Amino acid sequence: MIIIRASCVVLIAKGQAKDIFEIKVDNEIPVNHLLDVANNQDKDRGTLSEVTLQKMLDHFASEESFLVQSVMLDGKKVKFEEAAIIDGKKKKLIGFLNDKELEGLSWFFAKEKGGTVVSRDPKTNQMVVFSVKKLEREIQPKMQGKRISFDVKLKVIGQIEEDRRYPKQNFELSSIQQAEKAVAAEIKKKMMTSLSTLQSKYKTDVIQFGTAMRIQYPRQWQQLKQRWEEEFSQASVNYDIKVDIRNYGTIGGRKQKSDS
Amino acid sequence: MRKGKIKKLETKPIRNKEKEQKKIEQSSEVKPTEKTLPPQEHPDQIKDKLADNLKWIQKEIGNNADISIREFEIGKTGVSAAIIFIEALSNQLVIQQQILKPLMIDFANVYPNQKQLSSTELKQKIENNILAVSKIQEIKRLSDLYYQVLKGATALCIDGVPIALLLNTQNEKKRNIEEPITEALVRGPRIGLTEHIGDNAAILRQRLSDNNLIFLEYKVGKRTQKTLYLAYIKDLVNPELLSEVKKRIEKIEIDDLPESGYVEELIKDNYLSPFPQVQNTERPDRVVGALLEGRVAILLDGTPFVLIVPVTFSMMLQSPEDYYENWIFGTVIRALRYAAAFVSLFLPSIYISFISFHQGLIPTTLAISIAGTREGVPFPSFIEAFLMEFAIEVLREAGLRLPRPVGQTVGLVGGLVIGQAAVQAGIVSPIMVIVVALTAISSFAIPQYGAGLVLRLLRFGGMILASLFGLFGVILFFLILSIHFVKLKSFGVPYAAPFVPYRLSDFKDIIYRAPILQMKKRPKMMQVQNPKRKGSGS
Amino acid sequence: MLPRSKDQLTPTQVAVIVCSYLLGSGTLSLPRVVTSEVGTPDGWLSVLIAGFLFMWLGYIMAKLGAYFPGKTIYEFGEEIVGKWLGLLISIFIIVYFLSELAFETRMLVEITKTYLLENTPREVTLALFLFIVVYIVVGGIHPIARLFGIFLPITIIVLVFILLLGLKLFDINQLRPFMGQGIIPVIKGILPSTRVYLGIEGILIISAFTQNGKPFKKAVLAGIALPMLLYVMVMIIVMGSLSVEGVSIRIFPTIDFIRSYEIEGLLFERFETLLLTIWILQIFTVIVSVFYVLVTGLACIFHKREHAFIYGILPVIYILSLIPRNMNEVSLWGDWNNQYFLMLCGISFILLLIQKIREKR
Repeated sequence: MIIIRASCVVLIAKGQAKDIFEIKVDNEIPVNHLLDVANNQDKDRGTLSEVTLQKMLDHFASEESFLVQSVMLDGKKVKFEEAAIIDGKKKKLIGFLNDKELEGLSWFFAKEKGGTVVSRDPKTNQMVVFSVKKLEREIQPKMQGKRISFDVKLKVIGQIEEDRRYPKQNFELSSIQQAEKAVAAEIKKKMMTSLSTLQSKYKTDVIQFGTAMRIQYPRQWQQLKQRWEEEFSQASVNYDIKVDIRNYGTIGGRKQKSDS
Repeated sequence: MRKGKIKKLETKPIRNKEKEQKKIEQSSEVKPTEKTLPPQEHPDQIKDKLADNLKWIQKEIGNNADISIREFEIGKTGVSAAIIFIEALSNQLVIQQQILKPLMIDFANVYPNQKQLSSTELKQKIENNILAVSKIQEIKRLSDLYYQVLKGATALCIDGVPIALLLNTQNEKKRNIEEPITEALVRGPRIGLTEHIGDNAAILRQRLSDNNLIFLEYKVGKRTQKTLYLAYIKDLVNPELLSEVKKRIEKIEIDDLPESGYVEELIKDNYLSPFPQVQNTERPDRVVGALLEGRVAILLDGTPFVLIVPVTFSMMLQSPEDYYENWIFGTVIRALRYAAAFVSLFLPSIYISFISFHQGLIPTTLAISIAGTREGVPFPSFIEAFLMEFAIEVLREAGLRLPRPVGQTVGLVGGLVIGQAAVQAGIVSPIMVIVVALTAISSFAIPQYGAGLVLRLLRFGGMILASLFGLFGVILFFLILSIHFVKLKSFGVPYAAPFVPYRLSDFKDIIYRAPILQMKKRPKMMQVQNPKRKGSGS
Repeated sequence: MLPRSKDQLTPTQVAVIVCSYLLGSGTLSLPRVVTSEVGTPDGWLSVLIAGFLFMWLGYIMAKLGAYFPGKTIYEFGEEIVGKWLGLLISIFIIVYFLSELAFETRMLVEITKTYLLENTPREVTLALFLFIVVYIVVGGIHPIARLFGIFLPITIIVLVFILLLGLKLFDINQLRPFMGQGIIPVIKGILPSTRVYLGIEGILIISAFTQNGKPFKKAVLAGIALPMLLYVMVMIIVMGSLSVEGVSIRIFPTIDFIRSYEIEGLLFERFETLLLTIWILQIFTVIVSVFYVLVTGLACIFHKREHAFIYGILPVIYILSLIPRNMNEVSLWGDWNNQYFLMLCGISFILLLIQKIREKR
């Protein structure tokens, strides 16, 4: 029986946890400060939702691996940069994802996603900065014989923040489509890189592919569960990424037709 | 019609109860077999001879300093007569001008030669042609005579007539009608009831000119013979309720009833319960409202507080003003009162239980700030709370008894100084002062003074249980209260009505004050004879 | 035996009593009890199916009671199967009620000890609580009905409120796949689900205090349907928030669920207080109901007034509830009671059959 309140937030300290509890910021109680920062860090990386004690226990009970926010001391300030990977079966910390890897992976699981994507227009090789407003995701597992693959469908809605192509004319529809393609390619690249790191280096499923599998193939899952780590690291992923630019910012607009 | 009835009834004030019953329940009552004993058997029967009667009176009450007996001759008939009265209680002018002068002088002028008149004729003449007094009663007993004389009437005894005439010469001491102090309203009639029962009945009748409004008279108090009226609307009130009220009033046997609080305590269902089971009010509009809901009002001479039965808990948290203001506002105000009642009952106990048992349940930041303020407080929270509650109750009591300007000062200065000083001295924490003050103020927000009193008293029980058993204690306290609450009945109506048992139509008027157009029916729990409110539109 | 009062319970009151009788100790442990048997997230379906099953059983009991207006099972049992067998059934029921009563009181004491009063001895809380129970039971069925009438709305409002607040933990994926393993696990879950419907046997006694018309049967069905909905709601929300495995490892998943969220910006952040409060109110209603029907039974058998038994039975309950040494034994006891309960349901079914045959002859 757990008498401790299960709503406590779990964080992993890099280095001594003791030191982090001793920070002094504006006379605030260290824990409160820590929680404030944890809640208010910028959403660019696709914030990890906070892991409470209850969730951690549930993950352990169902032997799912998961990510926990990790905190470290940077001089006199706390810094949230990396994410700890916890193996649900061994119930152990097996490594840390750096900022970039985390950002790439967050496309797979983050409930809220913000931030910007910097891509280059293949034609002009100029920078197009896109900011994410909304994300729709669908992960569809597929089992063909023993081969397991995942279809990841993403629909990213957002706006252009910065356009280095400096369109002299007003926006053309094609110009937007081009930008959309460029952003999608960039996102795909990010996802693929970080996923392959995860699959090869850590061999742990922290992006809830297992859940999708359990829902889709509940019977097979009973057996797959035991060796999911291996299966996961071998699984192939098909990407289908659509970017929808809803807003071009303040520059440009639709081309005026001459006859109107 | 009613006047005649009461007049007749009053001829035998002591044993009028049975008669009352017979008169009012004309419908189906069996005629009571009243045995009238032969007159001779009564020792206090009024005799033929005036001298005998006077001797009697002299013996019984004559040695009182304030009793006057004046003997005279009627006209020039040679018949001697006497009036007995109390100077201070009776109107001297009336006695001189309307009684003595006609009898002594005018009689001779009107009937110059009447020596041969029989005693009954004489009496008839006097009654019909001579005495210009509005109310005359004939009585046969000397004991009845005393009671009336002692209340300010003048008794006229005539030689040869075995009957005394009681003349209404009362010079009553009463005050003017003023605004009710205990139930002040912002909007609403300013008129309040007074100590004079006649005035009160008049005020009510003026407001409710329904020929079905009945005032039933009783004499209560063995020695004081106070007048008590039972008021109800004949074609509304549930007959079972009425007979129950009558039965309980008739059971009252006590020397004196100085205030309607006595009546309340003697007729309520459970005299051990702290809850007010009878509503008292000095607002005529409230009484009228209750009568129209089919309730019974009890008026007692000598107090402005009229009792209303039966009563439910929800009535304690209602004020007539709810109906005078906009219904939305009325509803919100009622909800506020319920919240206030809850706070005044439970806030200190919840606070104590959280502080001493369940610190983990307080939000973290609040817990830290409470811990900060409690630093250095030497007492456990119960003692702390008890001290402050004690102080505030004493202040309230002191402020109540002192003359008004002083009382207010005491309250203000005492509250501020003690609160501030206690916090600075580190005896109590500031949060505790807030809790206690909030509790006290909440209990004052309850429109019925008695109900507020009960809630304030009961919360001490909650505090004790909370300090012993924490939240579990508070829950137990809630359980005990609820059980007592549902077990209580007021004249057959569950005290918890209309919350339980559920009567959806009555829900229109508990917390939610429905627009008046929607309140077409009288409360179902009263089981009235005519459930439709006549006044409401369709 | 007290003369039964003339004014009968209204159908609403019957529904309220049945509902309060059913809502009880099961709320806290139900998700675990069912899910550990089912193993998939479909436990709520088992609870639903069991609910319909018991609505049917409740209907049967109401029908049985309807044959004998103004009589409890203690009396009409003898009429159906004869004096001695009837007495045997009465004794069986009384033993069951006694065991159930002691079990529920022990549950209350156990939860109080765990979550509210760690340092107070069980004996004290138990004694206190029993005295309060007696205070209402001596009042008779009408105050009891009124009391339940106050508690039930509070319970429903608070329960729904705190469940909805927890929706931020809710993740629909935890409930999927729907019937991923077919219907078999759902059926396996029906047996453990029955324990939350424990209490419908009260209908056999309440029927004596009301008019046995159609409204009574409707009231009984409503009285079962409402707790069923609440239980299904508890199952779905707790399961959706804690996952199958998470639910299975917790003794009282509902409390743990309430304890795993905090809402900032409201007056409170933590809500298990509210849950525990309404839970105590509800287990109080269960204990009062069982106490009342038990005492009624004793009074019927011995043809004496209830009051003597009310006080006489107190020490027995007190001692019985303190017998189990730990939570495991208490759980085991609960399982026994559940079996007794199912047997009782079977008995009433058989009684109805016999009655029907008797009627035809």
